[in-house]
Amino acid sequence: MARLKRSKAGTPEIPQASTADIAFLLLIFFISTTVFEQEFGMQVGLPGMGGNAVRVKRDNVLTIRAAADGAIFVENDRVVVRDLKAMIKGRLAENENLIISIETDGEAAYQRMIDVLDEVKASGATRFSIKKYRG
Amino acid sequence: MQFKRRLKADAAIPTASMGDLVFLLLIFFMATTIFKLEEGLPVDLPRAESGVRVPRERVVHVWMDTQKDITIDDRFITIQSVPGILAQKMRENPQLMVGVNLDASIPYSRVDDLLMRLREANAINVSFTNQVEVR
Repeated sequence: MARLKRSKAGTPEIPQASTADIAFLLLIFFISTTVFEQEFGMQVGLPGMGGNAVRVKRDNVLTIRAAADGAIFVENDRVVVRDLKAMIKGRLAENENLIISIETDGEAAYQRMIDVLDEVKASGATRFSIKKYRG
Repeated sequence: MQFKRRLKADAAIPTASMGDLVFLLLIFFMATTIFKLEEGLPVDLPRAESGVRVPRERVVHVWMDTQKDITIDDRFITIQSVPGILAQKMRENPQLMVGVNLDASIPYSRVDDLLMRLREANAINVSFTNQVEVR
């Protein structure tokens, strides 16, 4: 058998042509899948302290109450939260100076106040007041 | 004497080191990136539909959970110290918005207490942070 001569030129090498390919692939994968956490909130402008209380005509105020057990009342009529948006829109159309007063019982859950505020915001009303009442 | 130029001249740029460089940069940035995130408290945010995106900068977060803990900037504080801390922050940045991260099940009286303190500090730009729930 003829002795096989090993060629002197050419050492065994791992082909590196695909290393950069894989690196860029991973990079593009993570760039496209990274999600930045976004915060959502309902923005409200509180009145400053010590400001003069604004006098409002009683007719221009719509009072929505959240009781301790979670029931919602509009001027003593019990309502379902989902109906509030349409109702407020209707009242706003009648009286554009309407101010919504959101009153929440101290023992009611915070979620109830948010539910009412959500409906008020969704109806497009911009003038509202938030307060606590003792039922 | 005239030297004959060899015709076999390979003009390709050697790219064997590209993969090396990419991984080097990758590891450098992985090792040096510092993620500064606020931890806050474990809070079940209330669900609402009409929340708007809150810009991450210019917001200071106040957290209140069901265990009667309050934190700002991951420091546990009492409700009495809230006006002082926020007044300080407002001095540094008058455009500051306060993101209020409260658990949905806390009694509204605690929320009202907090809102009163916010008014004391004149931090009137408030956002009630919520989870997005589409009805």
